[in-house]
Amino acid sequence: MNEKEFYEELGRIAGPPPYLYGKICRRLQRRTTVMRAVFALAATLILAVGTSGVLYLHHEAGQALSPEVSEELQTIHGYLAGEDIEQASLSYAIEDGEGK
Amino acid sequence: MVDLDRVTIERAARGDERAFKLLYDHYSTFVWRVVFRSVGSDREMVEEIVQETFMKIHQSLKKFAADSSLGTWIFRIAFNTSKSFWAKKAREKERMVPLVFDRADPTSAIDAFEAGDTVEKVLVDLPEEDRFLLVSREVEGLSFDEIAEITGKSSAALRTRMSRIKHKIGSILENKPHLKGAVI
Repeated sequence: MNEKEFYEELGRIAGPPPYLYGKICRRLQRRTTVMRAVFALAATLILAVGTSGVLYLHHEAGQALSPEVSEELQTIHGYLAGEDIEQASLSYAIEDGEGK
Repeated sequence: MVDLDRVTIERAARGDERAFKLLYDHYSTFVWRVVFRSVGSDREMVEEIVQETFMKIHQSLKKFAADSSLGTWIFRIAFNTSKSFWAKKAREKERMVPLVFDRADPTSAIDAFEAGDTVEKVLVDLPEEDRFLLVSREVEGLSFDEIAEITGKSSAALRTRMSRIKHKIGSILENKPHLKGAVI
């Protein structure tokens, strides 16, 4: 074989086998499925973390009340605990004593 | 190399399967030929490289800059994919040194006779990258500027290298008498 023949022969190659494109398509489909699953998982995680964060922030915001609301709540708590009754009976007792 | 029309490229980039098939039909023979000659008789590896190349093309076609040649871009992907496979093959070969014949071994071409065709007997003494350059230039007819764009090497360096490759082929053909009478 001389050089001329060598270079002629160099390009004499059959093309890719016909089944190769099918193989590429199957691999592409597999990759798409895997990618979609990964995206779905990532989206679920982001959603879960995001929801937890929002709930936590909401809870934290609930903890820090304004002084007016806090005072009001304290008054309600006092009524519920019967502090007003105690106070009222004490003032009646003083009034009764004064009356005698 | 004649490029595929812009409309088909754009459709393929948008995920149109029929357009991607057209792209595959247009370039797969070129890619196959270059990879086949650079890898040699390892057909399984050739298939793997070509599959991987088209997977990468499909994945990054959206990033392809429409002002450059798609053929050159595809060849660059094929070259880089092949390079990583050659490196993998070299690592495997290093691990199996006692079992595999050496490239410099004068009997290597004779061994290749069993595995490949007449051309393969000559190419077996060349590194994979040199084979890739040789086929890109001599078979596919790419210019040195195009090969420079593909490989990232200078056009002048490639000319020198190609001249050395051709000289080496000439001396292989001269020094291996059993190849001279080979039937094409």
